[in-house]
Amino acid sequence: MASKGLQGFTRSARTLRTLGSSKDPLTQCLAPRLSRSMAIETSLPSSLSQEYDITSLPDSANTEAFSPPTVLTTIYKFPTMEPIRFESYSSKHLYLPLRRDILHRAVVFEGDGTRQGTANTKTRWEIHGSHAKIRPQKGTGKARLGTKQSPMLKGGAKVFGPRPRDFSTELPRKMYDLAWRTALSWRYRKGDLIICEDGMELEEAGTKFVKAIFKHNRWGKEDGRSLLITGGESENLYTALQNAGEDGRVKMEHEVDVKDLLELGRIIIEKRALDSILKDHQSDLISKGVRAAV
Amino acid sequence: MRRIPITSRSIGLLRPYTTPTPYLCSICKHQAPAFSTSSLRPSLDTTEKIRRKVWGTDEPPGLEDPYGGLSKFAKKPKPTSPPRQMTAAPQLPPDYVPSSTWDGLESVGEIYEPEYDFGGFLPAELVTDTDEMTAALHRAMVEIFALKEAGLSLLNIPKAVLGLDPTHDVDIVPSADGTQLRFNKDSSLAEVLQALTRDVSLSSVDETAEKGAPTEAEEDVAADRSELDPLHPEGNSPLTDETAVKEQPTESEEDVAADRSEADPLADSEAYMPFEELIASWDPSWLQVSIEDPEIKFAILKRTLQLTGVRVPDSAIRSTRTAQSILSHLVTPPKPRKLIDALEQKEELLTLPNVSVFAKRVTPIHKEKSIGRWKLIEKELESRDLPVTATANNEYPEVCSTSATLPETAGETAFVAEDEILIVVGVGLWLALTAKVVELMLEFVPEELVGPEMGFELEMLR
Repeated sequence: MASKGLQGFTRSARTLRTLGSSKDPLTQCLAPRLSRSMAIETSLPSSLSQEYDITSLPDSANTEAFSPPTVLTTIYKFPTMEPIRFESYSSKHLYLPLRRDILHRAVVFEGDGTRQGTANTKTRWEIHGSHAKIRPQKGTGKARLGTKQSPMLKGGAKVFGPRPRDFSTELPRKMYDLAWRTALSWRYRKGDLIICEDGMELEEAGTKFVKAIFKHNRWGKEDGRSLLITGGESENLYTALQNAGEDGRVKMEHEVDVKDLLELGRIIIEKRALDSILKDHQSDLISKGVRAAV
Repeated sequence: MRRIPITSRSIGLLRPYTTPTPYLCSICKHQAPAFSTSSLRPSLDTTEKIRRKVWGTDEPPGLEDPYGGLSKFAKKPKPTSPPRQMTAAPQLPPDYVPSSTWDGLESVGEIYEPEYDFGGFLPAELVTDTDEMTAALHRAMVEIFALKEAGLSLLNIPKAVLGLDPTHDVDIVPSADGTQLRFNKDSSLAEVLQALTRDVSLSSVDETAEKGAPTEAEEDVAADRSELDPLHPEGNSPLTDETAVKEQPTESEEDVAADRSEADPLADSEAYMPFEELIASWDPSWLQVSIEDPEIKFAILKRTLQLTGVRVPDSAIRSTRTAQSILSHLVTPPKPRKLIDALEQKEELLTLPNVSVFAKRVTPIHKEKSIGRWKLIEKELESRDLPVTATANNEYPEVCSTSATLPETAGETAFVAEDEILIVVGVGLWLALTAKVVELMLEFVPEELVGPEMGFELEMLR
């Protein structure tokens, strides 16, 4: 179609040229009109005529109509969970539509990457022992046998056994980054993303404190457990949650992956951790040059 | 020529027999003198010997131990503790009776740790009732609009939920130039503001007592507490309006306070109105009040969260433009986490005569329990030494039963099962083997090690 369009374009350009050169009224009359060509009209590739703009695509235009450019979040004070203020985030960060397929691919990608791949069996060349023939080929009345390491013997080799290998698969970076933001958006849409002000820390380390906090805020075991994500090291919080694993988990921002974001009942995240995650996972939103500058 | 060994020499007789002799080869034994010919010397350690040689005298100068003190590795003497002082037991009073319970006894120390009181922002109890939720939203809105009318900060609201809620008799009316509060006969802006800025510790009783006092003084207090600038015209204008309206309410409030103790049904109905009546008494247009202003929206959501403990999801904040939409988010119950919770909410399912819903899988044990037969079955099974459930007593099976008399010495055998022989391999380690394996083993075992009964038992097995 595009080539046809291009043909049409060249043809009309030629016509223009002829129009410009000859003043003959006959040729002017016979020349095809510029307004309507014989071929089916298609627009020229947009890169020729205008700058590529993502918002001009019909899909993104539709989502634009339904989702506002920014979404509001409430920032809470950590242990008391008192709302402090509203904060707005781009809807491309926290208001993406749910894409189960992308989340699935990201989780599988992470799972592949975390496989140890250290399973190992010995081949017949690795098993210790003499490679001499066990018994003569003929005359014993028994089966023909070569070496002791033969896979068919007890204590012999495994033929196609596991060998140490790398199980990790590949996923386009942009897709993985989209999965991160999709996971956060899913949490946001469900109301399970609770953003806390910087400095998520307890005054004292103690399981009973953290248990009381979880119970009061309804974050504990009965309410589906919670994942706490901190931007830095919160020693008291980590110590306190060590023995309260049934109620939730605490992780640092760099320890979290997409699977973690999808796993527990809700996510309580420090604002700087969220900002850092969003900054690190927006390769599909900003171009490489901008990314390098940032 | 063969050498004739000399067994002993006469000089050897001089040797005292008691001294042990070190080992010497036969040649050395005969060549070496049987006794030492050198003079005996006092045993001296090497250091002392060298010191004497260096100084050339038997009494070299210098300290015996130049470094002094004990070695680091030497054991230090244990500090001896003085013997315990024994004291006579105190004389018990003649009427002493030892108590059999701990009631009334003096307690020493803390047995249980005190409960950690976490002062969270959310209330301890979640509000689930729809009407209560509606009332809470109404209260939050009245309070926030009152604060705004007075020009006060919308965010510093104390946690006080005590006492009479002064917002019950206030209507919120949407109007062209913003939302207006309409204070009916039992309420005033000052009262609402006073309740908001009041100390939490004041109880409702004190409150009514205060209300009995002259209105003007109370108003002064309210004005003082609300931190209103008296010179500020905007803040003051609603207050001056209120004083005119206020005349009547004070009397009725006095009545309420007085009547409450006497349990007058009329007064009671006014003080503790059920939530449905309360909601019905309000002008329904309050639900259409616009809360587009993000500051007001935030304050209302915050106050509602404080009163009810229900969080409006962040994703719904932008779309909520009226009180109605906030309320719809508040009253929507959260999705049940378990299937049983979802099924239990379905009335039409549970009322069916032939349908019953269980939280867990129904096993035959449950069926027996429902007709009261399970205890009997359990007892019978236990009396017969049978497993009660498949998973109970599921230990690793024993290698051999201990019913047979176990042999104790190595090499002994005993019958364990029909075709097995038990061989004691070492002390406390025995193996049960089939006859065939034993035969194979015996090929490698010397005959003198096999006991006579082994062969006999092998014969029997064959």
